[in-house]
Amino acid sequence: MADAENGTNRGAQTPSAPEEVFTRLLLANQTRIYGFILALVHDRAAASDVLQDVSVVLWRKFDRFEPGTDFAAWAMSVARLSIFEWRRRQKKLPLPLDDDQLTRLADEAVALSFDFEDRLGALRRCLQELMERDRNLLRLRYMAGETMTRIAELAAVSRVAIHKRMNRLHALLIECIRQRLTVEESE
Amino acid sequence: MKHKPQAGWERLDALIGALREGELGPEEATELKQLLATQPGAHRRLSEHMFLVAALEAELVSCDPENDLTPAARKASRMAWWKWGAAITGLAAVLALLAVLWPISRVPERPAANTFAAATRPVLFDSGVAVLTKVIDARWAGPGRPATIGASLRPGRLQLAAGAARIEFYSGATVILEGPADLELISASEAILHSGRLRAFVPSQAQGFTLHSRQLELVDRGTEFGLEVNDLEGSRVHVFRGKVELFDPNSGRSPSSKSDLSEGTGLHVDPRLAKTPITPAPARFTSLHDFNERSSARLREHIRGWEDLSRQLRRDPRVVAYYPFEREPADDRALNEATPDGKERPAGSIVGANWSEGRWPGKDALEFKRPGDRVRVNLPGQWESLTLTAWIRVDGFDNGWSSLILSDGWKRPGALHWQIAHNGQIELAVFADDRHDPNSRSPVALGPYDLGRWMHLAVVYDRNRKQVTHYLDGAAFSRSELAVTVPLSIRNAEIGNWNTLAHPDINPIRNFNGRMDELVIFREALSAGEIARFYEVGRPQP
Repeated sequence: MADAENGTNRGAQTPSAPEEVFTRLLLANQTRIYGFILALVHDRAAASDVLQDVSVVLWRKFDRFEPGTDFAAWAMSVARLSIFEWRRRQKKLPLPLDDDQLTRLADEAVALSFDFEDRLGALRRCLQELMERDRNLLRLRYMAGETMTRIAELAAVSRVAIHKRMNRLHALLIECIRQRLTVEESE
Repeated sequence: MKHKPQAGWERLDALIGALREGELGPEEATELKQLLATQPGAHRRLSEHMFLVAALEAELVSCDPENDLTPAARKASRMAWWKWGAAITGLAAVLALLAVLWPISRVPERPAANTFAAATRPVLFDSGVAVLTKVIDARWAGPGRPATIGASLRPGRLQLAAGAARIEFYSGATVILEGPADLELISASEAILHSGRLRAFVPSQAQGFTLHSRQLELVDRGTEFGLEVNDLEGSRVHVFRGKVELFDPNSGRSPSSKSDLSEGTGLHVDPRLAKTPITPAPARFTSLHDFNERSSARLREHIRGWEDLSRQLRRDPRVVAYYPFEREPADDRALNEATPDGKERPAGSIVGANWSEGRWPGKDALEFKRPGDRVRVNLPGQWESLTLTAWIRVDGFDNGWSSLILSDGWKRPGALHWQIAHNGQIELAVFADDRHDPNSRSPVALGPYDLGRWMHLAVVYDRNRKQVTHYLDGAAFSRSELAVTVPLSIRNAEIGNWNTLAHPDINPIRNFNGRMDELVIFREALSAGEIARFYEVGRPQP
């Protein structure tokens, strides 16, 4: 084993600076935290902004995080307040909800996020089951960040057709993930 | 896909779809709100949709396009119902393909394109106040020991049990700390020397640099001085150049306790705060010059140790390929392979990549930067297990995947891909068949703090144990079990890049951004002890 005393090794046994620990935890959990924010904010650009704000809050409160516990769960509990506040500050929201509904939605999102890693793994395999053309459609939207109008132009079909196909793809993926998780549980 | 969307969700899904695309009208919003209140499971369904979007963003940035690029997959998709297959012709097809395969930054007319790839990046922080830049046989004690050379040091205590260390404060002041010593960093321009000896170099731009001990507070006025502190004798200040101001400890720099010390003078303050002038003794403190001399001498010794190891590796029968990354002036576009007879022979073609400095002065490395940079190699043979080790310096995680060494193409049993994901995960993918997940992906291992530092990566594919183990700097940090294993065969491959074999004219950009200065491939699963030794002997500083 490497000599931990010499100062040049960084194995698991060497304590790291808190911001380094924090960065690793944040990067490792960012998709799950972002998903939670998106579930309550409903707009990708806004959710990214909120994630930036939440990162700062998380860092300021990081001394209250208990090492070894679920970082994302802690982050979501901190993020919840920030998101509620953020929603109150907005003049216009894509989906206005009262506090009760929002709380229920937040609880559902937290519950759903506990097997997020498994969902991600399932999604990876579900994506492989799609036809290449469908996968490309998703790439244009999520990787290249194209607008639906532009995608419709590229595909030379109507906007309505693209919307329909996109909705169907999302529903298919949700179903595929659900089934894969059920199968894995029963195995 | 064999799945069908579940019935009963059509209206809710359509409304959520409109919400997802930012096109939900006020009336639809009211309807969606109503459905959430009345339809059982609707909250969960909405959450599922939103998590799916987050997951798709994350996954599609780093997804492997190789699965789609095989002729078979493309043929299969031609039979799809989806009518745009026929509609995409000429320019549109090129554009669509470009959008999918080209690095987003290369398409200037679409400024919005990279927002989503970068959008989910959280804010990262640096709370360091100084940088540990060089050590000589440093042994650290206590909980706050620095992680790596070049690492930022946060406020807190540094306990150096033995050896010497050079610390550069963000303010511009430099100190050489000699063990045993106990230095507590307060800020970029303030520290407490609890015990031990240090020499400080404070240029004018760092003026005001302050050191505390139990007996005094020292404020620098642009100078070079030595400070030694011990519990029995108190503190001694030696001013070699310039001027410092001294105050009583915790006096709030009271003018009545102030004394000025100038060049060539010194002061001893005993534990009862009695002051006696002393003559400075520069020889008691390591100067920058001496420190550099000593560290160079120690480095030369360390390098000899590595040269011994390198000679052993050349003769090691377990070695499949050993690339020491030493530039051969007569043919510097060939990557040489070391052979048992002590000679080197050209074994790889360097394309694009340039020679550059490696782990220490005088050691060569190849620098991979641009999309075309790569080394083409051919490694015939088939092996039950393999160990790959490399010294690399990552300069950025700009691409979805950064290639270390990848077999050409993908869907060939035994093909191997060793690469780093944009989020700092390290992956060894070995293709077995279409039904099994080929990836052994580590948790996030590398982050922004690792950029620009030399590190040792190793991965072991152990067919007997059905395991893949990833190592960073000599320590195992991730192990995955394999459901199915195959004999490995690298064959035609690229170091620092990937040849998909699918498109002769267009390729996804997956070049490594950084340097590599040693790559060894063994036909066996090496032990943790041996990998730790390779790291110890080969690391950039002793």
